[in-house]
Amino acid sequence: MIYAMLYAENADIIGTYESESEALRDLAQFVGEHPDLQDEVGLRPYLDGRPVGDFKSATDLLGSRLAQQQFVDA
Amino acid sequence: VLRERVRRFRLATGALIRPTALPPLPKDLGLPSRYVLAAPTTGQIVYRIVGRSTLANLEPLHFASNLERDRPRAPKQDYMDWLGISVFGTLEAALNNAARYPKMVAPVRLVAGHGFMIARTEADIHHHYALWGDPEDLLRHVMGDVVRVDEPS
Repeated sequence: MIYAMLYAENADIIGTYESESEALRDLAQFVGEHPDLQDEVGLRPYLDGRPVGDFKSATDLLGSRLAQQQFVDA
Repeated sequence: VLRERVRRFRLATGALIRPTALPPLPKDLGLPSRYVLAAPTTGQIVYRIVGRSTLANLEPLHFASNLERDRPRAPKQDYMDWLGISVFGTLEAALNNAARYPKMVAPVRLVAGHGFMIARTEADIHHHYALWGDPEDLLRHVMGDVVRVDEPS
């Protein structure tokens, strides 16, 4: 199983990861720096070259964490 | 080991020589997987997911790289990848990779002589290619109608 970081709009793949935790860490860093992308960018699991789950945006995956971070940043 | 490498090289270069074949993965030529093996296009057809746009309102933006769209480079994204766009070598793969429905998929014929370059990238994702080209020129090479996807295939 791998996790792809991608844009939902056009499936532009912008990274692949062998572990979900690593993918989530990079996703949090990326949208932490670019919060305007948190609904556009997310992760999708792949197995044997094919998607095996739905795309989930950074908001879906990190929602409370992002809100907390934005609160702290403010 | 040498015989196996020669066999893989023949297979891969055979694929490159065929007029409308798409390029192989670098590892098929015995190269490290992080290498990018980009080839000039020779008339291949690839499939680009273009959001919710129909043929009537497609724009160059739909074929622009993340850099051209002022999107930041992601933590693990190579600079070269930032300059290209994701396309798929089969319609089925494009349909499988679409998210948030409905979605449109545009077939694009990558004729020779327009400076288009293509590479098989993301080995863990079937039929994924990176494509480099002038967005306006790519738009001019959309062929036929865009295909609508309403649900996961």
